[in-house]
Amino acid sequence: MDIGPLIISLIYQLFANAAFLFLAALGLIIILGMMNIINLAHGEFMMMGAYVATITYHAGVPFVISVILSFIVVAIIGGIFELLIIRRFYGEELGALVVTWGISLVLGQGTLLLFGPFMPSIKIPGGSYKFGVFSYSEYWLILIGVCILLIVLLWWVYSFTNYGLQAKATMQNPDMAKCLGVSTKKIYTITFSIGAGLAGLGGALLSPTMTIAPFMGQQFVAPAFITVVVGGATNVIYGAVGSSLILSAVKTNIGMAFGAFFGTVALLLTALIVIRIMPNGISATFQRYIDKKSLSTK
Amino acid sequence: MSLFDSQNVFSGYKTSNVLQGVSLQINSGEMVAIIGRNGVGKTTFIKTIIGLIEIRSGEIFFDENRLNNLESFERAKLGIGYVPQGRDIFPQLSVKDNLRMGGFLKTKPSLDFDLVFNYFPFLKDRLQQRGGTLSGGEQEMLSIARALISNPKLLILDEPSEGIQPNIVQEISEFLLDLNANHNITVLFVEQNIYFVKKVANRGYVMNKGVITNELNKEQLSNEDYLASQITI
Amino acid sequence: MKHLLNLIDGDKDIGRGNKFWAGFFLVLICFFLYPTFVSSFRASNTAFYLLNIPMGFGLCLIWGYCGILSFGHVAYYGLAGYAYGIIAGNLLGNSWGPILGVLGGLVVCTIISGIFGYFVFYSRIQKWIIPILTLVFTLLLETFFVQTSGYQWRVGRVLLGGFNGMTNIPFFQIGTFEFEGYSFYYYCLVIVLVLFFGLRILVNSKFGQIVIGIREDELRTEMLGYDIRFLQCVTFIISANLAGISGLLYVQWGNYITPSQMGILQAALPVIWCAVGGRNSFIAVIFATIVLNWLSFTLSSQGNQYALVIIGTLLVITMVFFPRGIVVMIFEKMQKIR
Repeated sequence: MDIGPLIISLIYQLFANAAFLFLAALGLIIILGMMNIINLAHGEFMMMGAYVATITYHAGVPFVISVILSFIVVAIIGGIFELLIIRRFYGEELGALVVTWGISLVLGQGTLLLFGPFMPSIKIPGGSYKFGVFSYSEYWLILIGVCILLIVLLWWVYSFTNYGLQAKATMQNPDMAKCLGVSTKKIYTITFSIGAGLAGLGGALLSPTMTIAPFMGQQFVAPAFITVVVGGATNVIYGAVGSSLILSAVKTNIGMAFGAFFGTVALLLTALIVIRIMPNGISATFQRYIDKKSLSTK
Repeated sequence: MSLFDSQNVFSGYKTSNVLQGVSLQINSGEMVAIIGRNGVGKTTFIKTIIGLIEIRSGEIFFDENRLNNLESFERAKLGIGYVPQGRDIFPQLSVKDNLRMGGFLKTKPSLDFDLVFNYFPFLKDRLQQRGGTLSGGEQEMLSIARALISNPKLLILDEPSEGIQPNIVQEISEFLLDLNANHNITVLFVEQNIYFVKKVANRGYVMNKGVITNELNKEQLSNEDYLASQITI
Repeated sequence: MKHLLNLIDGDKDIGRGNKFWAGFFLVLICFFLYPTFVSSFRASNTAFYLLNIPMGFGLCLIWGYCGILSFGHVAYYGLAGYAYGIIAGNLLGNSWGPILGVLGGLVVCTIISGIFGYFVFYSRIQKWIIPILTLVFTLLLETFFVQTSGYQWRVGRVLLGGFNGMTNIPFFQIGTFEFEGYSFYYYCLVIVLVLFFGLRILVNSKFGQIVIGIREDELRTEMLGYDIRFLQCVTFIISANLAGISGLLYVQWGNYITPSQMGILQAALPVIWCAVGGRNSFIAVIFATIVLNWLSFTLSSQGNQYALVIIGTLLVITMVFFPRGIVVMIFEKMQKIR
């Protein structure tokens, strides 16, 4: 067998799986990193994004616009939840877990009752290529590109906008941020909305690759949370990217060798090992490395 | 009318009160010290002013605004610059970003960065360094610089000399005097360092068990033995 | 004996003193007399509410008393059920089968929870990761069992059954006496009682004090010389076995088990019972488990598809307005008025 095409196929799989994990986990990491809230309704936010996408798409809206709408709609819904419910649980992580769980139940079942068990699916945009004996979906290549775009966008927001600076400061020391004129409540609402919106975006982007149903969010729960645990919340971007890549490497290889289920088991085992060595995730270790480097450039 | 007025303020943690009726005034242009033993409520008072601890009873006025029902960020925006005990700079933000964080108050056209760099030239060379990797003294100066970016009317410092090497404490004291003289910034600070108090303050209050027990004038503040006696009752 | 009675009457659970116990025994008598007024079918339904109580106890112990939220505690419910099904199913005709099945189920729970606990508690990870890991674990178990359909997936004579689950699981029997219907109801009632008193003794004992101390302030308790990792592990194992007992009772009640018993919807239920009733009180959990199970049964048996939505909403409302649980907060209010 030609080794060239095999390697290319592996690389493609690696990045495609990483893109999946990244899109599934991004919204979750942002909310966790900022407010130490574990949003168990995350899967349902993704589902809502997919629903917005399919409803608007089948109403004639171009897919790209559908995706953007998904972000906006779910962001707004997330913001409402934050204002009404979530903000009462800052500082109480377990309480937040339970209440977001309740929300996820209501959203999932409610969607089933309102829209029925299935929604029309979205045809996967783009075609597929054949290279050697392997075929590649154009859409996954697009998704990989979208992830890169998101990374750049997030990096820009965190580094150059006032919101980004205030958000980072609030993450590190909310009391001090308050004393410097930052309305931390507003930051939390905005951040939660962004996290929810990104979850919706992820759901919308991934929706052409799967069946759109009320409980479709469930399949993201395990991978998203594992990605978050491994990445850690110290530095959102490094954590999300690094974690997605590492876990994808594990899943791709084991999955190829032993099947998808064992790929997921391997993810869990990797997570257990990583937290044994780096309890705060890889972003914390990476942050220490960066701190040391900045010292040496005095 | 005085710039800052605290009237019979009660506040505390959980079920008990630490402050048992604190009353004091600060006039524009003054440099006022609060001294007292550990645990009497000095930091609690500062945190009550800035809003990190809720006022349970009493009133606080700043620049003719009643602070009681305002949130911390609203109080800060009225022109209060806060330099907490322990510096509280943002450890993972760069020096530059820490300074930028000081710019969200914008009361008047702000002290531009150049002026702050004038007082603390070392900051200019360290803009990209992570705040958490600075030394204690450097962090203190960064914290003060950050509070000054927005040109506050009142600068509050909680134990600025704590844990900092003596020569830097000296620099900070000189800097505060200069700030007060040339930029008309009123200063309130809590201190245990007698030398610092003697050098910087032109009026002082002694706090004990959550109340003000004594007001000190410049002459009493110049007397080191007298000061020591007040702190070590 | 006096000492044990004192422990049962201790203050680490709500309700103590003569008036309370008088009321308690009154209610208990009602529960004992209940089957005489209803059909065997009805009694069996009520037994379903009772058999879930140990699961609630387990979560109450690890979450309410030890401060560690195990979101995927149903994993042990399922594991014990499947283990019993495998062992008792293979020993059909042997009167020791069910008893060995029970033992097997508890052993499986102990081993798996022990390994899991070792990994989790000895690595000193941040607290919020534990709920997630337990949830992921139970989801993985569910996924695994779902894909076990087909003849090749069997242990001895017993098919694992894949998505449809394992059927023909034998009733529990001692000697030749099989527990079903009325006898099953009393069997559950007795087990719940024994566990209730046992747990009250446990939490009021020195062990219980330390566990509560760990919940309140881990570092301080450790500095007092206690091996908190070990104690957390032990508590986790005990609570897993409690969940397992519910699992065992479940398969002995319905004679079947499906992978969805370890799925996300089922995982939510004990959390809801504890959150709504009050997670640091066994009495509150008994109350909440019975009421909420009755509620969802009534709702779904009337063809009401809104059951889970209602319960989810109830959970959210409870968390917002009664953060410590309805029963617990009512009790606290009563204490204040007195």
